Amino acid sequence: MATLQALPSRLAIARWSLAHAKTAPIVLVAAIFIYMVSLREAHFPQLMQLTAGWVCFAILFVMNLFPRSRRAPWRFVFLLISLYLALRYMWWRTFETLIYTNAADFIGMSTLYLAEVYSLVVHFLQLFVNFWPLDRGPCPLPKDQTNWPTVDVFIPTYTEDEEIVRLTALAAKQIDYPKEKLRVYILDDGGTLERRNNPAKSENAWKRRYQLMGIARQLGVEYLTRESNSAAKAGNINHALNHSNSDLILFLDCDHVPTADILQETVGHFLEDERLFLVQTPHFFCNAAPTERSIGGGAPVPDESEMFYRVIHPGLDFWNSSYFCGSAAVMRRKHLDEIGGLSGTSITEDAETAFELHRRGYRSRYVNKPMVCGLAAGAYADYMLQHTRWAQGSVQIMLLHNPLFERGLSIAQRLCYFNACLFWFFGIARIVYFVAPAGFLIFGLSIYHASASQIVAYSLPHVASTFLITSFLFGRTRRLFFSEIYESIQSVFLTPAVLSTVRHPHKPSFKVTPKNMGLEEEQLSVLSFFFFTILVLNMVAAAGGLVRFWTQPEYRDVISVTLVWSVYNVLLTTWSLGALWEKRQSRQHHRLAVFGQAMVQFPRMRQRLSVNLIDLSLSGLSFSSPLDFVVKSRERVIVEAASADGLVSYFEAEVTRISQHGERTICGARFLIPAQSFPDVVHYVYGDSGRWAAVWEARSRGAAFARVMGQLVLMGLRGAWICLTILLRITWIWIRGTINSRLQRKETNV
Amino acid sequence: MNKVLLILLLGLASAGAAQAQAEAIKLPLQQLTALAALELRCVSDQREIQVPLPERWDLKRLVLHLRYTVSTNLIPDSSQLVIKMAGQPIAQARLNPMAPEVKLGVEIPTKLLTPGYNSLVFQVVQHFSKNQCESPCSPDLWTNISLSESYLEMEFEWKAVPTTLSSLSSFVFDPRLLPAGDVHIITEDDSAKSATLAGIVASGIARRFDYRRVSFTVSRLPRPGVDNVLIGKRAFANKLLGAATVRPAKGGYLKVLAMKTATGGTDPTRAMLVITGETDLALKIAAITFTNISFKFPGSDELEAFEFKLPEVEQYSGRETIRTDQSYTLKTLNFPTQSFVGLNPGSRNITFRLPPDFNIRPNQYAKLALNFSYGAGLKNDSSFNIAVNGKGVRAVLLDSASGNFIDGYKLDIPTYVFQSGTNTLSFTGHLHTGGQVCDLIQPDNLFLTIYENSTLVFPPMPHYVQMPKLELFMLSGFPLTRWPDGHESRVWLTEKSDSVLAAALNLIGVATQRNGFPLFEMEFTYERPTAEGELLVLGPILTVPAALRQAAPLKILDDGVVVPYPVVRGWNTEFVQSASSKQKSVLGLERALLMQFESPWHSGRTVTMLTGARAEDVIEASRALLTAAVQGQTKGDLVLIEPGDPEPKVSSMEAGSPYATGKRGSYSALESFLYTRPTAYYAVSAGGLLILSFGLFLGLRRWRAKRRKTD
Repeated sequence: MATLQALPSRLAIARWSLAHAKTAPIVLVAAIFIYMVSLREAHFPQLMQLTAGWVCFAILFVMNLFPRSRRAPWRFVFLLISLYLALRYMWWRTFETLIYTNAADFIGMSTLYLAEVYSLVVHFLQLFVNFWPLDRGPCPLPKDQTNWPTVDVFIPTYTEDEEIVRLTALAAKQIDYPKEKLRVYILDDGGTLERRNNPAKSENAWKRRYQLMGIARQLGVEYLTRESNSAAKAGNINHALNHSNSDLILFLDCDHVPTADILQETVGHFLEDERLFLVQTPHFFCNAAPTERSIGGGAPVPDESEMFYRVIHPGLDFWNSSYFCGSAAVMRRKHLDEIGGLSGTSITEDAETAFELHRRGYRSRYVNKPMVCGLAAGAYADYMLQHTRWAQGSVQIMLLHNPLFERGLSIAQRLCYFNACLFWFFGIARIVYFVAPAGFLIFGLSIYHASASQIVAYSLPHVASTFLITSFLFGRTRRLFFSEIYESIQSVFLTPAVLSTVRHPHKPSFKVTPKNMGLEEEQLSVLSFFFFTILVLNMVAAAGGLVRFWTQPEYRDVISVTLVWSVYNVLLTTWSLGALWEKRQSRQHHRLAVFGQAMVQFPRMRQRLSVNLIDLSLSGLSFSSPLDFVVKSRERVIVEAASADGLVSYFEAEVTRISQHGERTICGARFLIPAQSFPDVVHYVYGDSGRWAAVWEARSRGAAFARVMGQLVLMGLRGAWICLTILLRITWIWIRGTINSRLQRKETNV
Repeated sequence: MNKVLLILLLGLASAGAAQAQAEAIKLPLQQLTALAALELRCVSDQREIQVPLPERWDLKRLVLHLRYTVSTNLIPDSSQLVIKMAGQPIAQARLNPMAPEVKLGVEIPTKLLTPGYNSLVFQVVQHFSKNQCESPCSPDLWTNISLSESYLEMEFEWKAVPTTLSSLSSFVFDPRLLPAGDVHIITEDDSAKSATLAGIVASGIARRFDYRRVSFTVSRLPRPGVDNVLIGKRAFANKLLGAATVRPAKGGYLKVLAMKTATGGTDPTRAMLVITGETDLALKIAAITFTNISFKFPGSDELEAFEFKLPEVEQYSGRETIRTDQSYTLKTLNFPTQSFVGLNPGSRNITFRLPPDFNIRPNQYAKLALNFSYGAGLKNDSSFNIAVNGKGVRAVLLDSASGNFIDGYKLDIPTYVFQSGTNTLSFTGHLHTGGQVCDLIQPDNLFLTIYENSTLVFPPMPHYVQMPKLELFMLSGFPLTRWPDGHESRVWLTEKSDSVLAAALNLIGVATQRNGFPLFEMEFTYERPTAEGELLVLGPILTVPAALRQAAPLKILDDGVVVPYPVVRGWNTEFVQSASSKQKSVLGLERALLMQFESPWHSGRTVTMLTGARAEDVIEASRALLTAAVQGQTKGDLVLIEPGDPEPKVSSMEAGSPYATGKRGSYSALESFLYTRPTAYYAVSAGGLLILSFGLFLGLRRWRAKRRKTD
């Protein structure tokens, strides 16, 4: 009887064994691999250990030179070698360098070690996530449109400029999809009853409501608002879900202008897979974020989000872990209804909703083609507000849902979500790295017990390999040291927010990122004070290190390492200070460097010429051409603009800027268009997703080592100049104060 | 006339009889110190040698035969060598450059010597310039005493042994006994139990002899002319010594009495120690009690022992071995407060041991905190050097003109300058005076004092060592002494023979003396031990089990012999490359093999095997192994010993497979293989990595195809 009772469980075990029998060899080899690393090399001659580390690095270096190595299975070889380097470092660090000397040293040593363990865990997770990014092919819609699902476009807005909303709604109306199956909704949370009844906000709320209602009426879209602002953006969307009834929903932030083909590229996936709840697409930004403006120095630089959308998200898609990023995504209403709309326990309701649906076994996909054009945060304060929200939301998900142990997720999904949440603790680790060398060089804390030979054998190959891995995985979207600069800049601001969330997981509230159009003047962000402190600390540490180098010869190994570390920190803080210098940004519409050709008529010369486009915005464009006549200022031209769908529009424009570059004449022109032609301009400028893809590719170019180093030198000089200026100012204030006080004393005496 | 002749003849005969009782030995001075020569430098210098005098010797005559060389630049009028014994000048000699090679014979009054260690001092005053300025430490100022060619001639008679048990340590088994100890052990039978008891007793005796070599013999009967130890039940003791000798006792019983001569008379100069009991347990208690009598108690000639509680024994806690992470004062390390005085104050050393299998890591520091003071008026380039194992690690500048007292001068010494086994920390003073060469030198203010409350702390280290290494056995008895009491170690005698047992006792004596802890837990067996542990195997080669012969580096098998022959040693290889020859041959007589290899039954465990063609060859080899010269040449895993006169011949080499061991003793075969073959380790890792890469590719390719299409 007992045997019979045990039969089902035995059958289940047998079934499980059969199902996993194929993976058993891989698990076995992986176990052997881990076992080999765990045996450690401490007993081998030091030359052997050193050779092993640097041979691995050399293999990585050579592989990184060949594009073919980015393809499987060589890709796996590369990633596993780097994993081996990281693992052997961690093993060595754990079993050979953690030595108790005294309580103060122990605290310093443990803190640094924990920071390193955190970094290594994130490193391993990143290797996992990016193991084999999916390059998903097109999924065309069937020719028979009767089976196409209905789509509602939700454009939630709060206090953003109404013209931004108008532009997005206008572009949404131009999406290439049967009109009877497409409805656009402006979801206004800035004109809710609650705000209209609030005396302090009433006037603006009423004004906004009328303006947006006018825009909706003018464009033929729906306007929706609600009584209160509860649950912020999630509440706004959930309210709209109750007042609409399409099969699918396209979510657009109010500044995310869609291209015409966004639904053609995404809806087909829902027809292919019944259990698909999400198709996410990248967020493309037409303006540079403050960091990119400062780092790039005018040259196109991949923006910070590109690494996530162009590389990491395809990696997540491979593991069926692509999650909702709040905009530029299509979701199935049926699945959303099943969980009662967007989940709202965290302030990143988008990722949380995807998390919940993944947990229920539904699937997601990612189409790696930019099909919205948005606005990045204009100033550092806004930029930080946005990142703080992401960080706090992710930490909330980790604390409130714990992806590692939540039921329903696959192992891969657990790791992907855990990575997304854990990543945001980087600020703490970065601050530890900033302070650690000073701990030894200034305060004499023994926090890293390693000899020079061990550092050369274990630490350096691992650290050097992380740069190679960044280049290997993210080389097209992230340049050398840029990740470190981004992390450094964000660290000091995100750390308190993250710690506060850890302490009070339910406390953070949703704050909308302001998308201001411009910055009136160049300024040093107020956020830079921290970096001055770090800079001074590390400069003092470096000076202390030089003294110790001569006075404590027995410690030269560790002094050398920490000295180099301090100098690196000095460089990093100087770069960060340079990056924190906010560049002026004053265009009415952001002008994007674009590629392609257009036809331009010069009525005065009765000529029609093919020109190369240089940049483009809603208010005008620039082009170049080898002209055999002189273009006059304010000369009228007619631009023949051919959209991706073949539609040709004619825009009158006025030449405002002329310059000669060799044989080519470069002209800047301003559109002179009546209001009724504005949709055509929008369609031309924003309608073509291929244009944004080309811009992405252009940003990827020019990442040559010399160029990147040049940018870093410039940024360092800028940072040094800032420091010098401030030093001079302080000195001047001190001198002036001293002189004034002496004069006052003299006067008093007299 | 005939009467006169008769009286003369009787007188000569009695003188001859008296002469026959006295013994004489020649003791080279090199045996009294680790140095080959004494170099006396500078304007004044002195060196000291400790001359041992056993308590049981009645010294009749002592002559020092000195051989030394003087610098040919010395001025004889003002250069002089003074020899002092126990502080008294016994001879003076001009240092004459016209006759630089000198042989000097000095009779030392025996009344100056007392039992124990007596200080023999060589003091020089040397000058190379008369009425002129001279540098006090000019290279011209030297005298070199050759210790290998200088010797002491000693004539002595044996004193009667006091019949008190407390005299065992200081009188009978006396480390000052020259040139070696010789002890006979009488066992009741040739069983493993008796052998185990003999092992405990031999270990205790060897420990009492300290570093003085001691040779054992074993039989069922007493051996006249040497000290004897009887181990057995009371009936056996009484049968051998007489019914009244051993009285009935409930516990273990110890008694010391005078030996009997072959003719039945009494030999008061030799002791018979009786260790007995009614039961096995009582006998063991008696043996352990004897082994531990290290204090002058009791004053009686017998005792009855009921219980013996041993302290907790820790791994690696042998002689002079320091524990990690523990602060030792220099006083604890046998370095009481010491002053360096004068222009040429010389060096002082601290010797301590680290466990022989310490895997010294390069990223840690031993912490030395020194308290010292120095005199005023030192030239500002005066210093004292601190060296570890001869490698200078710090010169401390004594640059305060008014002198100073420094408390807690901290010095972190990188651990990689230390080594597993014996380490020497030395301090050398370099004290200079200010002023010019021709100024009157006032050296009285030149002093440096290092205080005994200075401390040394050594950090923890992992235990790992690549074996086989017979030099570790000679250093501290490792791996038999991983547990200092011999726990987890066994002696496997492959033949029941007194010679083989005596050979085992000799090796146990060596291990005990090197490690400084009696091996209470070491078990003897004639069968293959079933429990896991370290093995010491002894016996004629044909009695050694085939599995051991197969595992040994030189395989003497039934169908032939596999012999490794060293071919070439290149600088690019750590080990000698050996060729292997399979042949039909024999080891031969009057030679033996000491081999070390991994146990064929337990990976990570070590077998140390002494074997020869006959049991006599085994015992002779074991006696050879007692000498410092043979011990110093014993290294690697294969040592051929050819005992002979005047010196045994030793050939060492490395021929077997390496394996790993450490604190836990047993390592898996795989661990051992990978730890000792880095290339194989990396090859397996690389292979695993490639297989894993391609395995993942094959596995994930299907998943990827699924993800690209409909899930």
